Amino acid sequence: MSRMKNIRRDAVLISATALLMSFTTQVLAVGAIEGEIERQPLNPVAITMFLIFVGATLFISYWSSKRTKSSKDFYTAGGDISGLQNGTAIAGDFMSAASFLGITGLIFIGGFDGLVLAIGAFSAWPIMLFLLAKRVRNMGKFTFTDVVSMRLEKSGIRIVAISGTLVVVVLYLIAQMVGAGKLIELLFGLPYNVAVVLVSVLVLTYVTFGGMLATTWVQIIKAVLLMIGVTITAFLVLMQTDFSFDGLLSGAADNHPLGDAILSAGVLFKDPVQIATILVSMLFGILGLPHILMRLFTVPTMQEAKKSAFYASLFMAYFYLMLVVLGFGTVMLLYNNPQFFTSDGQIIGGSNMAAIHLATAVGGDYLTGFMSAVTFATILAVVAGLTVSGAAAVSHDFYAEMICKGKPDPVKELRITRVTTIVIGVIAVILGILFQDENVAFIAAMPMVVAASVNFPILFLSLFWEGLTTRGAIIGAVVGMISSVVLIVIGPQVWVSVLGFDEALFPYNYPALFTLPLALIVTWIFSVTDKSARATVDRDNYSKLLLRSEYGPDDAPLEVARH
Amino acid sequence: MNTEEKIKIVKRKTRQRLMFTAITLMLYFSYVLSYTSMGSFLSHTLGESHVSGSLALYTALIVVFILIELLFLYLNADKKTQGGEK
Repeated sequence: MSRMKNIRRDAVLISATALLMSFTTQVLAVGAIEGEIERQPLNPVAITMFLIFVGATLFISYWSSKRTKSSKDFYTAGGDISGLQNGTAIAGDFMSAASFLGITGLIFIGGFDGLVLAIGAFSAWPIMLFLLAKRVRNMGKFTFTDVVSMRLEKSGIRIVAISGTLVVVVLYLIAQMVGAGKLIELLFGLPYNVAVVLVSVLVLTYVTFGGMLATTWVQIIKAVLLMIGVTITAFLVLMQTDFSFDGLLSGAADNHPLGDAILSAGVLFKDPVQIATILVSMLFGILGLPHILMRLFTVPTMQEAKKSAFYASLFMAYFYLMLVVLGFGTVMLLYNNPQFFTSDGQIIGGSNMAAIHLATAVGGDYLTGFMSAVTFATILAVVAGLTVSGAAAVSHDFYAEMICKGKPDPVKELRITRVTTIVIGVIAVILGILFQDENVAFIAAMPMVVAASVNFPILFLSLFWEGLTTRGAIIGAVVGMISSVVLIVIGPQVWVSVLGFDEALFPYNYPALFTLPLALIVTWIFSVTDKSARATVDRDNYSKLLLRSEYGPDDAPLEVARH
Repeated sequence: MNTEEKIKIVKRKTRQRLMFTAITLMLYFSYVLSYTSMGSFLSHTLGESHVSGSLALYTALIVVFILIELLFLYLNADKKTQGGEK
């Protein structure tokens, strides 16, 4: 008996070491579930809870559809969402399955190092409050493209901003759909294609009929459910150690093959430049995510916009602190429990399932079912937010503002918005199915890097630098985009994992540490050397917009020159 | 309040925003210390506990960021009556 136990322990040690070795290259694939997956048996509790969630959200969509009469209703829920509601919805939009399952899985494998993505994801929110919340809210109408095009020559900068939005949204969607398909297959036992179609159909129902209002409430419900689930799980984990956090860490170190090493840095990552580039990509990427920025327009006043960012921070602070308990809880409770390992010593379903297994270990079938349903809700909420943002980029930014020069037929615009939503849903299904057997790790990394290197620089500089010109912004954004794509392609995730070369030409998966400064420098050079007449107009517009950015459109009506 | 006075206030607020951002970013990138020899002290545990310096830093950063946000909101709420913000 004791010998059997030793053999199992050895198997766990070997598999954990193998996982650690492979993980250093796979670690940034948090947005997706990789490789072959082992389908779980149908969980009736999960199915029941999921059906309750779907029923409730469909009712909300029906209710919202009665209130979605105009484009403003569709894009921003009529601008009537309160700061607390919006903060909760932002948290719901942002705390993805990758955050919950991915980070817990990383801690399960490498302990403390798993938290690097958590600190990156959280720390963007204070900056969002200090730099962007109020100014973006005051300067824009429906999208971040409105903000960046306010003082610059409209058509050129809009094309760049729309491209940045669509690239981010489409790549984010692919990563979410592939991750969703595999995750749902794993959790609910549904075939991949059925799972992808199901996610798309539900999201299309929410968004097409209920627009931003339905999306907001789906995100709020999901955020509340996720908080409840994480709190219950953390409570049950801490109960095992008589509510001693030190006991939890001690138990984790005792059970992990690497012992005390997991309590500090250096298990998964050793290179400080790699950590720095992940931190830059996460923080500045989040500040440039169009579907997150769009949420700032759903509140009625600038004060509510600031409150939104603060409440979002508060919820996420709680969530990412609880993940420490959950992460080390998985180490303490799963490693020595053969129930969660296959006969060859691998954790069932891979490390991304560690959080779900933890729910089983401490709460049985009911908590497992609840957490599985919450995970599904998480995917729906994130995909819904992305879909609204993508639809707004096409129907508002492109059709209404560029084609119709800001004077669209409202009925036609709303119709185009709904059609675009359906098209995006269909594209998401097609791409989700096309990419199901591909290594999509790079697709998960790309949106953050592109958002950090294209969207953030033009947004930040248009709000804070008088010298920005249209020429500088466009060239800087194009350089940011090209450098991001090139460095990701020649980095380990594509050059080695996808294309099969032995060694990457560029050593980092998340290159924003290099591409963001490059975009800023290029923008600066091409702006300060711009002597055109348009450049003078761009610079003159700044002081006028400065007033509006702090005092709002009522106190500082827009008088900027267009041409 | 005339436009020039307003612009003065906006510029002061802009400096404040950038200062809060700079402090936050400095603290944020201190996280990299855990991975350098200069930050080797962070690998030690606190007293007799199992809490490493790195883990304490992670928790402290989250709490401090929330406190900084509260300070920012407080300072701006204070300016509300003087700055003419609606």
